[in-house]
Amino acid sequence: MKHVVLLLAAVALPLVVYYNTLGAQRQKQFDQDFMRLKELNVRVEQARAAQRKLSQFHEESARLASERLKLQTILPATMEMDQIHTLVQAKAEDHGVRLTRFDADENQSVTAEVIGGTVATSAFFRDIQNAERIIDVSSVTLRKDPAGWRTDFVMRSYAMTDVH
Amino acid sequence: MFKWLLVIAFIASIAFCAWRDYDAQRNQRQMHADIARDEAELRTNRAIDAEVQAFQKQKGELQQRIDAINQLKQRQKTAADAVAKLSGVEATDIESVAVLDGHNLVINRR
Repeated sequence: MKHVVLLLAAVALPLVVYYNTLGAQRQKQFDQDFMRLKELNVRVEQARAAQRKLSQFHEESARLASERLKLQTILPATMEMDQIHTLVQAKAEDHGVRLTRFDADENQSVTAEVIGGTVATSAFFRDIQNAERIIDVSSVTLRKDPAGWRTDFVMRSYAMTDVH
Repeated sequence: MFKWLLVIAFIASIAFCAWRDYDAQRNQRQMHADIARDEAELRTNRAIDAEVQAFQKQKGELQQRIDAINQLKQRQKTAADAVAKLSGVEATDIESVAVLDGHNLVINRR
């Protein structure tokens, strides 16, 4: 029994020492090189494919750029509150409601008020919902007004920075 | 006799480790050669590689933006439906109305 243990120890000792020192270093280096090579292989293949179909690649790039531009309108890089104000003002005018308040606070939400009939106000909110920017409408309260209803609400729009 | 067996087992184990290390170094050299070859090819095609990398980056950003827009659209808060309901309500004695959950109305009458 003692002999078997000694024999196993004689076999295991160099293996344990190797795999925990030099072997581990080699493995780490292998993993890094493998990842680098894989990444380079992908880049080489992509470059070859693009080279082979150059005009198609340029068309795709142009399509991507235009798509990006469209989506930047929906979710811009920064809030651009002035754009929202102009947009809301225009939508209000389109539906015959009067925008009487538009106060943006530092949390980038806007306290606003419109005056108009229920149908016009509802259409205005529907248009805001489908606007080119994403705008949440909440905290809506309505009071009677000689011109229909005085509607107070909070709007919240988004920029790409809010999403990250 | 057992002593020799022990020495042979020890030396065989060391030899195995040496072989493994030699093999690992050989693989490493091969991999470095492959990396150098790929890097050289990319240097030759630098312009198209830069274009492709920029394209991939833009594609990633675009997908991120699409995902964000979809998420925001799905949980968008609105009040259009609730306000539309108000047109069918007798309004003479209403003092105020609040929209609840974007769909329901809470009406305070005088």
